[in-house]
Amino acid sequence: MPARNPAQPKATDESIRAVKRTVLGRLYGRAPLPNLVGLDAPLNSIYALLSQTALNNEGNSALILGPRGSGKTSLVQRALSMLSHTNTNKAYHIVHLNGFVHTTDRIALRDIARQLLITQDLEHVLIGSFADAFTYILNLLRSDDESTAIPPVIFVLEEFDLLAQHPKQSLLYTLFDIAQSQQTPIAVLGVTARIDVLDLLEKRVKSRFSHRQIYVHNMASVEEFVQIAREALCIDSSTVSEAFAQQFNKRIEDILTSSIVSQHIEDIFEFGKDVRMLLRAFTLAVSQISIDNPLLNASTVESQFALTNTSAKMKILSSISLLELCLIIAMRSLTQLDISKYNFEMVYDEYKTFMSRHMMAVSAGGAMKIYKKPVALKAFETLVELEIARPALVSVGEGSSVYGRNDLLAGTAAGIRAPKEYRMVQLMLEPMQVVELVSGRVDIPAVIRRWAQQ
Amino acid sequence: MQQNKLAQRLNKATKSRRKQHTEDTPVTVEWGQRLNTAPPSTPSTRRVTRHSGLTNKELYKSIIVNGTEYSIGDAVAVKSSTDDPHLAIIYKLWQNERGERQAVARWLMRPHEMHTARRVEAGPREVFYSNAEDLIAPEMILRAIRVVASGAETGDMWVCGRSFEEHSARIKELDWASVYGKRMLLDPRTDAELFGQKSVQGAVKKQPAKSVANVKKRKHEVESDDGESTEDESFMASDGGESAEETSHKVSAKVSVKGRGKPSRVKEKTRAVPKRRARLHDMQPQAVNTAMLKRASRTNDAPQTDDIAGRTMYEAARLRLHVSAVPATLPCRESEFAEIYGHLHTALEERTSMCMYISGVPGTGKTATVRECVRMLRESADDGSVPGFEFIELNGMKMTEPQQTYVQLWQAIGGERATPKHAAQLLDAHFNTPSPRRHTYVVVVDELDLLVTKSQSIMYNLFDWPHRPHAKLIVVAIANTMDLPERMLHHKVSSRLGLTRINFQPYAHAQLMAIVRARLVGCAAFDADAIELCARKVGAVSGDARRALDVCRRAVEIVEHEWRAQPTGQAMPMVTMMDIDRAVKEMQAAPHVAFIRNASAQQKVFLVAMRAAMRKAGVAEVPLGDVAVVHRQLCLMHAMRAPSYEQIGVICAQLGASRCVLAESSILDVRQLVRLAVAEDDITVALKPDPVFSKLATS
Repeated sequence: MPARNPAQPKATDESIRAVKRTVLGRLYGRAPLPNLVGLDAPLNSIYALLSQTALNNEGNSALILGPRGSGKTSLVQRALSMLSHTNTNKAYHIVHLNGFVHTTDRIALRDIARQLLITQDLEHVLIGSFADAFTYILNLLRSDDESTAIPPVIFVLEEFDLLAQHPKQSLLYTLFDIAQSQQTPIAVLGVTARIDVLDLLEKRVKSRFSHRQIYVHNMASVEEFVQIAREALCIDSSTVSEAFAQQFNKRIEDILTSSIVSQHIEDIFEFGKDVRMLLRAFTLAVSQISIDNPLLNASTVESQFALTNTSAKMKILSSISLLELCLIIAMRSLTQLDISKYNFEMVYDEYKTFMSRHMMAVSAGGAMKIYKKPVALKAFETLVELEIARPALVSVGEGSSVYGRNDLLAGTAAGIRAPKEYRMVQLMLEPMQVVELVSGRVDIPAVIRRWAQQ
Repeated sequence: MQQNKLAQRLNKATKSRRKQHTEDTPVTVEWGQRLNTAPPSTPSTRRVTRHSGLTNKELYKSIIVNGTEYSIGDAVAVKSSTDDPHLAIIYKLWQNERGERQAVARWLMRPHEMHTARRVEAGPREVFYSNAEDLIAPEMILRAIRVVASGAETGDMWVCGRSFEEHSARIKELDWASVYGKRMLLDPRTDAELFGQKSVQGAVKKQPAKSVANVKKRKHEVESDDGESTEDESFMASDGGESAEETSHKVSAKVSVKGRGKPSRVKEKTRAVPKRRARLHDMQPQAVNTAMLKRASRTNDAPQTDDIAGRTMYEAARLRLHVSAVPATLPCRESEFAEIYGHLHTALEERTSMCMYISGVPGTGKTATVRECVRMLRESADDGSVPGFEFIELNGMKMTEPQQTYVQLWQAIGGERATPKHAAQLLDAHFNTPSPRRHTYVVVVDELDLLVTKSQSIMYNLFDWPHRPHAKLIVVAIANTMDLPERMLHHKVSSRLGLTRINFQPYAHAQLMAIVRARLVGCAAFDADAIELCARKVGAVSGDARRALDVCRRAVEIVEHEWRAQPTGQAMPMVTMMDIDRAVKEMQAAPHVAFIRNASAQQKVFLVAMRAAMRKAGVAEVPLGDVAVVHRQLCLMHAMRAPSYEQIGVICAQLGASRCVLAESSILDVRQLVRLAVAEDDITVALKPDPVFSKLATS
C-alpha cells in the first residue's frame, strides 16, 4: 500500500506513538470522541440537570435509556466535562458506580467512600445500616466548619438495572430519598440499556424517583454513522505536524468513502447500528501503523470488516472429518423425524441404517465403509466437545440453562449417571446450516451429499 | 385484677431478668413488721375496688431483703436495666391475695431522668423527690442509701432539696431535713403541700385517665382535695381501710361535677379498648381542635417570600415544587391528621402505650403527616401542655437487616451501640423494669413490611413492648399495604398491633391541586388550568403527590428552556396545559414504540420474523432457530442481505439486552427460547410509518 503513495510523509517515532495512542484510545472507548454526533438534545437535558445540582444545589434524579452502543456513557462523560469547564469554582464531587462491579450495596458503599477520598477507617460505620453509613460519609464531605453545606455529589450509576436487582434496593432507595430531601444536593443518573427498567423498581423506590427519563436513540442515518468513524479516526495537528495530520486524515477520508468500506459500514448500520462494532473494525489497521507505514492500510480495514461477517462455527465445521459430518447429518435426520433429543446409540443406528441401505450402491467404488461403534463414539465425543451437540436436559429453564462445557464427558449432566452412549444430546445446528455445511465442501461422496439434502 | 396481672407479669419479668444475670446470688425476702390495721372486707368493697386491686392486701411496715430490713419511708437503691441503680423511697409494702410481695416506690429522680422542657441545673449528687410511683418487686431492692439535705459527696449519699411534680413537671423547694427527718414523707399533707392541690387538680382535669399505677395516688389526692385529711398513722389504712365504696363514690361525684363528656374514672379503670377508641373523638376534641386550628392558620398564613427573592419566576417555582421543599404545613389529610394527632395526644396525656398502623400507597403523605403530628406535639410539649416525649424514627428500608431495629432503637433509648442480640435483651429489660424515667418514646417504624422475618420476632417484640407494664412506648408503624397484618403477619403479631388502623387513600385530583397551589402561592408561573390538568392526569393514574410535583417541575423546566432559547427581553410565558401535557407524556410514555422505530433494519426484521414464528407455532415462546429461518426468508423476499445464523444470534442478544425480547442464555444458540417483551401491536404501530417495513409489519 505505501508503494501507491510515493510522497511518504515524514513522521517521527514520537508522533506515530501519539497517534496510535489517541486513536486506539478512542476506538476502544478509553478516550471520548472529540465531538458527539447527533446527540445534542439528550446532551443538553443531561447538562441542564447536572448544572442544576452542581450550581443551584438542587436534588435531581434521571434515567438515561438507550440500546447498547448508542452513546449513553459518552453523553454522561461529555456532560460532566462540560460541567467541569463551566463551573465557577464551586466544589462538587462525582461518584461512578457500575452494576457489574458493585454487586452488593456494601461494595458500592465502600467504593463511594473511596471515590469521595474519605480515608477514614469505615469499618465501624459499615456495620450499621446502609443509610446511616451513607449519610455519615456524606457528612464527612463537609469542610471543617460544621455550618457549611455539604457540597453537591453527582452519582453516575452504570448498568442501573443490575443495581436495581440488589435485594431490597436500599442503595437506590437511599440515593433517591436523599435526592428528594434537603439534606444534601445530589444528582442520580442511572444509565441502562433496558427499556423496562422502571418496572424493576419497587414501588416505594419508584415513587421517590423523579421519573425523568432521557432516551438516547440510535443514529438516524448512515451519514451520521460514518461521521462517528471519522471523528474517531481523524487526528488534529496538536500532537503531530500539520502536514502529517492532513495526509493521515485524507487517507481516512479515502478509506471511508471507498465503495467496499462504505458498503461494510452500511451493513453494520443495517445490522445493529452498533458504534462499537464499527470502531472495532479499524483497530487492527490502526495498531499496524508504523514509521514505515504511517497511514492507515485500506486492505487491512477491508479484511477486518470481512472477518466480522464470517461465522466462526461454520469455519470450524468446515474442517471436520467425514464420519463426524455423517453423524451430524444423522442427528439432523432424527430432528426431522421430530425427535429433538437423541443419544449416541440412536445416532449411530441412524447412521448405520443409512449406510447399509446405500452400501450396495457404493460398494462398487469401495470408497465408503461403516465405522465401528468405538470409532464413531470417539467422533461423537469430538462433536460434543466442539459443542456442536450439547447435552439435553430434562428442563431447559432460564435459570438452569448455563452448563459447563464437558458435561457429557464428565457425566455430571443434570445428575444423569447413564453411560455416555445413552446420554441425550441436542444438535446445535439448524437443518439449513447442515445443508450449507455440506454444500461448502468438495470432498464429500455424492451419496452423503444427497442424504444431507433430503 | 389489673394490678394483679401487672404484678404477675412484673414478677415474671424479674424472674427472667434474674435468669439472665445468673451471677446474681438468689435473693431472700421475708416480711418484717406487720402494719396493724386489718382492712374490713365487706362484699361491696371487694366488688368496687377489685378494679384497682386494693382488696385483701396485707400491709406491712418493713421487709427483710437478704437479711437487711427496710421499712416504709426508707431510701433505697433499686435495680435498673443498667448498672446505675435507680433511687427510690419505699412508700408502701403489701402482700396481695396471690401471696406476692410487692412494694410501691416513689422515685428519687436524678436530673437526667426528669422530663422537663428546660435543663435543670443540679448538682452531681442531687436527687428530686417526686410523686412518680411504680410497683416494684422487693427483690429489686439492692441496698439502703442515705439522702441528706446537704453535704453528700460519695457512695450512697445523695442530696435532696427539691421536689418534682410528675405531671406539671414543677419543681419546688423542699426542706428535706424536716420532711424526711421527722418521717413526714408519708403524710398526705406533705404530699398536698409539695405537689400542690392546684397542680394536682389541674393534672386531673387534663388527664382524665391515668395508668393503673397512679390510680391509687389520685384517689388520695381527691381526698385531700376535699380537705378531709385522715389521721397521721392510719393514712395507709385510709387506702385499704376506709370504705372504698365511699371513695369511689366521691370520685365519681367529683367527675360528674367536673363536666360532661368525661367518663367516670371507675369505668375507665377497666381500660376496655373499644371504649378508649370511642372516647377518642368526644374526649379529645379540644386538643385536636386546637392543633387543627393551629395547622389551618399556618396554611392560611402568607407564605414566606424571602426564598424566592432575587430569582426568576421559573427558578422560584422550581424551588417550591421540589419534593424536598417542605412547606410549613401540609394541605389536605385533615381527618387523618386529626386521628393520628388525637391518638398520640391521648396516649401521651395518659402516659400509656399504644400501637398504630398506618397504610397507604407511596406518595400519599403518610410519613409527612406523622412527622407533622410529632412536630405539633413537640411544640405543645415545649410549652408544657403535653408531657415531654422522645421521638425515634426507624426505617426498614434503611436498615441492612431487620435485626438492626434493635440496635437503632437501643441506640436512641440507651445511647449506646450493642449487637442486635444484646440490644434486644437490653430493650426487653428496659421495658420490663420500673424506672423513674417518665419519658414516653414515640417510635415511628417506616416501611414496616421489610422487618418481616421468618419468625417475625422483631415485629412481635416491637408490638409487644408497648403492652409491658413499665413501657411508655408508642409505636407507629407505616407500610404500603392495607392488609399487611392479615396477609403477612402471624396472628400473635397482628393481635398485638391492635385495631388502631389508619389508611391513606391516594390523593384525589382536587387534593393534588390544593397541594400544588399551596406551594405556588405568590408565584405566578402557572396557568390555573395547567395545575388542574396535572392534578387530573396524576390523580387518574396513581394519586402520588411526588409525581404531581415532579410533573409540574418538569413543565417549568420545559418552558424555561424555551424562554432561554428566545432572544433576551421576551416576557416570561406561563406554564400552560400544553406544557403539562408534554411533561406528562415525557415522563409516562412507554419507550417501546420509539425504541422499535429507532432500531436497525435487521432488528426490525427480527421482530417481525419473531412475531410470524410465534403465530405459526401458536405459543409465546419459540426457539431461536425457527425465528432465524423466518428471518432469512424475509430477507430474501425483500432483497436484503440475509445474515448468518450467528449474526441472528447477535441481533437477538442486542434486543435481549434492551429487554425488547426475552431470551435464554445465548450458550444454547439456536435452541434458546425467545419471547417478545413488547406488545405485538407496538411492532405494528412502530413500523407502519416506515416505507420499507409497512408491508412487513401489517402482514
